[in-house]
Amino acid sequence: MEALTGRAIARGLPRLALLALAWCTLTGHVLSGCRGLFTPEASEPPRGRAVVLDYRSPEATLRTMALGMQAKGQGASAWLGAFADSSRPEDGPGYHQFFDSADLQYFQGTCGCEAPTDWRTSQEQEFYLEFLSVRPSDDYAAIFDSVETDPDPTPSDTEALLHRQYRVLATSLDGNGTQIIAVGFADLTFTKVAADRWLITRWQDRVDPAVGVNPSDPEQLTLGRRRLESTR
Amino acid sequence: MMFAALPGRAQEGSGSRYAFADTTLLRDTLDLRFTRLFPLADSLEVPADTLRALSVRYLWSLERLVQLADSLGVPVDSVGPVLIRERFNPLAGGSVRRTDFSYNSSYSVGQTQSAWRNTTDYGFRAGPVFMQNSTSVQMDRYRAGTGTSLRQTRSSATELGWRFSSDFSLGGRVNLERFDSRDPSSLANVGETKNEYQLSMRSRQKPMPGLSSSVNFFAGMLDLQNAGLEKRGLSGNLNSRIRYTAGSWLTQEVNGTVDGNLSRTRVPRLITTENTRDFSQNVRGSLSLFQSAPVGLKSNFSYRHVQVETPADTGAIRRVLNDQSSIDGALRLRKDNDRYVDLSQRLSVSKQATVFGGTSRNTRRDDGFNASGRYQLRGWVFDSKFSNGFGNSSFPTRSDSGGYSEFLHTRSLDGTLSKQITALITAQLSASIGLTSYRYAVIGKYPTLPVSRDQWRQSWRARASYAPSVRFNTSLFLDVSKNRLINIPGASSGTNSDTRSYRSEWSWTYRLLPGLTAVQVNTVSADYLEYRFFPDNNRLTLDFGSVTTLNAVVTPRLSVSMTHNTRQTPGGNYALYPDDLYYFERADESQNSSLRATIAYSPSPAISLTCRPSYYAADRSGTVNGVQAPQRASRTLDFSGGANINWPIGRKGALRGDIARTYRAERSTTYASGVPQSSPRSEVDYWIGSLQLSWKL
Repeated sequence: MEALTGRAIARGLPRLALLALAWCTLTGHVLSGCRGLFTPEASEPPRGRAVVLDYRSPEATLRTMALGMQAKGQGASAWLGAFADSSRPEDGPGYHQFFDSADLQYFQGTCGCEAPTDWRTSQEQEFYLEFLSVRPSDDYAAIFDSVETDPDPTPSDTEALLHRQYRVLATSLDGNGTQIIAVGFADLTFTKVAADRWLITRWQDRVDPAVGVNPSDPEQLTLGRRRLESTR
Repeated sequence: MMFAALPGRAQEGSGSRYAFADTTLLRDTLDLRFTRLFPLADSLEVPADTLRALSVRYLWSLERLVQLADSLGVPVDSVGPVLIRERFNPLAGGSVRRTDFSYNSSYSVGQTQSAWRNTTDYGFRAGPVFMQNSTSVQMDRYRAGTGTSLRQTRSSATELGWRFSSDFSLGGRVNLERFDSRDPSSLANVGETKNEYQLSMRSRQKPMPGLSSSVNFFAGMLDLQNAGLEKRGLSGNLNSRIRYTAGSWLTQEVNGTVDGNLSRTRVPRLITTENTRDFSQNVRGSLSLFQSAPVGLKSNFSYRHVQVETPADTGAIRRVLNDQSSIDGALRLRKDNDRYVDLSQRLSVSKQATVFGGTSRNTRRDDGFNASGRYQLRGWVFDSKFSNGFGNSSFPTRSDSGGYSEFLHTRSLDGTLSKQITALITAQLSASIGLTSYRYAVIGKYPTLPVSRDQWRQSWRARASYAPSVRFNTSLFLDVSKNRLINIPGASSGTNSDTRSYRSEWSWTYRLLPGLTAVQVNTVSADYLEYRFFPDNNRLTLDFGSVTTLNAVVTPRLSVSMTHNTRQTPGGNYALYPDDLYYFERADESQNSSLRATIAYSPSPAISLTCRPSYYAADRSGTVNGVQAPQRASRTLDFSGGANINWPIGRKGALRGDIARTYRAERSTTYASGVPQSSPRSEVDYWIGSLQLSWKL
């Protein structure tokens, strides 16, 4: 006891402290192997091949969007490039999304908040990131099907209206489960903003009546509703 | 330091170590002093505001509080509860005839709820006979829409006994508990009745110098009824505390509790009755070796096991098991309070029941190492902290088909160097780095597995303060940090991002006149959010803020405080221009400002009247087709007026509390395609406050 409180230990204390700190540092490195304790792991590169940006026709734009969604993070430019951005002088009029009134009503009722009054490219950028995290580990596939009961009108030289039923599927990594995470109808107005560039300037979203505004599978929401939910 | 807190001034620290403590927290104009608050809080490893709150709550000086904690051998935040508990310990005190009675009634009201609580504590002691009773009745009312739900919680604990000696007593006790809830939105009312009739045995021992212990035992009948079950049987509780102290080099304490019941249990609508056993063990202990020596050790351990058997709707008995155990040890190498190293290791395991039954429990195992140290040399003080921890969790039944496991690795290193450069200038430089890794693996089948990721952060901060006189001081700091989110799998790595933040703050305090102090805090910050694989979404957010506060003690009875807060937050993305370079384009902006005032007038020490008006304005604008346009504007006016009461009633009673009427008016305008759409003004006013009447005999 006396030895422990003696002057000898007090003199050796700085050396003990130094030893302890050295041990801490070494232990930290041992626990993390050869890599530094504070070095984060390198991420895998975004999966999927690079998407060739092709907006030469409304159908090509939809194909590019589908490839973009399939490539997830790496396809962001492909998806977002399909929407006209009024802040880019070459694009002309900007993209606006219009929600289904039933979606709006349901969202405001459940959220107790006001829905966004307008939806443009900047909101779409933020939404896209949110949408990727709905099933962060899964692979996505977007499908745009024409609607037999609502054929597309003949396009003009600079504008085209396409009626499409869309679905976004999420497939788990082991390939065992596929889930619909977005479903609905969209009336898409494409504007030819340049010689080989047809971009979406208006997206009128509609709820699929077969699914409903409050579906039994809570994942099967419209993309419009997904956009609204991303603002919460 | 002892008398450092002058009226209208903050509590000063001593030396450079405490120069940047949160002094605004302790800005008192009431001439309250908390001598050596920061060093004591630092030494006891409790937050300074907690220590101050304990001192105010129990009306004890800090020295008295620490002295009592030392004497009782409990942490400083347990002193109050331990003393209250001992007041009703029949073995405490002598055999003098004594009657204690206290009555407390408190009523609190808010916008949508009110609560009224009445409690009485009665204690009677005459020779060997003792009796004590604690009764509590609480009534809560919650208003939702047009309906009001009511909850009543009542409890009474009565014990009557005979003290055979100063260390042993026998008696009986009755615990009665009632709970009733009436909710107009639900079809059935909910209620619970619990009766316990028990024999009680209390004892304490001092078999040798330094060793003290207490053993209490309660056993008897249990009768529990609620909507889900009826349980009748035998219940018991055994609790013990052993404390051993050997000089100043060894202190050891173990607290243990075992309680349970053997019952016949059934679902009220079923006929069949089953045997059930509820059981819990709780053991906590601590060991301190050579606490005042240069090398000291402190260790804590705990073990908790709870088993509850309840009938399911079908009548089958479901067993719920929860286990928790932990142990930690800290080795302190200490020369003095300014030169020490602490090394500690912690291990813990917990197993939590899930709805899928006792065999599929969520488990978590943690182990962590911490080291902290301080070294002072020639006016320089170096503080450092290192931690490295691992957590293994398993959630096997997150869904019907499976779940996942999580491996968490957290490590951080912080260092701070401070020095009082001159008598007027103090400087501090600190840096930190940290990395948290999350790794996930599927158990069975689980579709929404969280993403394995790393979160990395690094920052440094420089601060300096200048105090040329008692009336004026100012400080400046610059903080630079970088945060990185790294999703590992390729499916998610597209959203990886870096955030670089730069923040600076300049604050000053100036006592314009005796009793009139001005404080201003100005901040400028910039957050650069960058997506490695998604540069189109890169974003810059700027923030300019200023808070100005004027505190005036106009007369000893009248004080006025005014705070003006303004904040402007522009933000936007980067656009690619024809020269292939990205340029920042401001796309949105928020402007918030508020003005708050507090006027307090105390015509007598028993009452003070307070008035608090405040006005808040918020505007948000965005960019449409390259032109800035308003999106939303809102205005809010709050007004609150009321009284604080601290009124002695005779020599034994007191009425304390506050009551105020609050009014709020709010209006907002949203803009759709540039066209304003105003919402009607909403107004709400209601009473808020609480009053407490206490009476002691």
